[in-house]
Amino acid sequence: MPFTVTGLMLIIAGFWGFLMACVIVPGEAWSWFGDKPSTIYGTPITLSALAFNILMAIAGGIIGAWLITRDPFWMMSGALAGIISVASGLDIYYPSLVFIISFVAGVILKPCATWLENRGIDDAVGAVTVHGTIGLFGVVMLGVFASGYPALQGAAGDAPTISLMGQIIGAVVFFLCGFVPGYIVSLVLKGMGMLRVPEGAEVAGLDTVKVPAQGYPEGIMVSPPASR
Amino acid sequence: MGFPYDSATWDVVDGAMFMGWGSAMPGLYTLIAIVICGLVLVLGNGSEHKRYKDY
Repeated sequence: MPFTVTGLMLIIAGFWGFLMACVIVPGEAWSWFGDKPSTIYGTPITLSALAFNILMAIAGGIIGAWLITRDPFWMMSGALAGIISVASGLDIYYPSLVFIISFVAGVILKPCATWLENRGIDDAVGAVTVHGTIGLFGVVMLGVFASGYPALQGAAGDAPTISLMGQIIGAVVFFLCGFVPGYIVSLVLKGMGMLRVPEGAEVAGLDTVKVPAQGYPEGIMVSPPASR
Repeated sequence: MGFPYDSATWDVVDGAMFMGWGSAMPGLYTLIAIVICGLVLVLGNGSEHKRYKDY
């Protein structure tokens, strides 16, 4: 658990750099503008607004996941889900709105993960839910809150505007672009016998089977599961 | 809510902006966020105190 949570925190810190790297600085030959920063689509943004919105997304996601699970793993996953749920509108969302949307993402995160796993989808770290389900949620939320906003830099009438239906169509396209190639590759790997390890290795644990070293000194017992 | 300018283009925005600029929506969003924080504080504190009774 501590290593897992630490890893998730590193991803959260990485998201700051990852998202801020999408800000195009002004004044360069490849910049959109000579005097103001923008997103990669040429829409206006500032680093300070982006940093604060990411912070609010982390807070909302953690609090929402805490309310439902009280589990540190899902709280850190909730922080990621919070960022992902508002990533589509980080340049225009008001910070309080970011908090509200990311809070909802944190609340629905664990139920969505449970729903997926109950349908036989093996999602050991909740990545499908965090990036997939919550990602789709975030794309649709931008259509709910930002309809009518220009999606790109351009003259009026030339730049497309955000709409709920457009966002839903985009979400479907994103899903198909991810699901279809992933399913085909998984099918090929399954046919070659490379998709899963044998059941015995699963039960023994992949660390024990694949890593020729012990993670903990002998005699240290794992803690019993926490009671709720 | 819609874009708060007559023409849907970013050319009319000088610098960054946020949704709800010039309207009451930022205040409403902030109020909702405050209510959420208050509810979570009360609900969470209540459920944690129930667990304290086990010890």
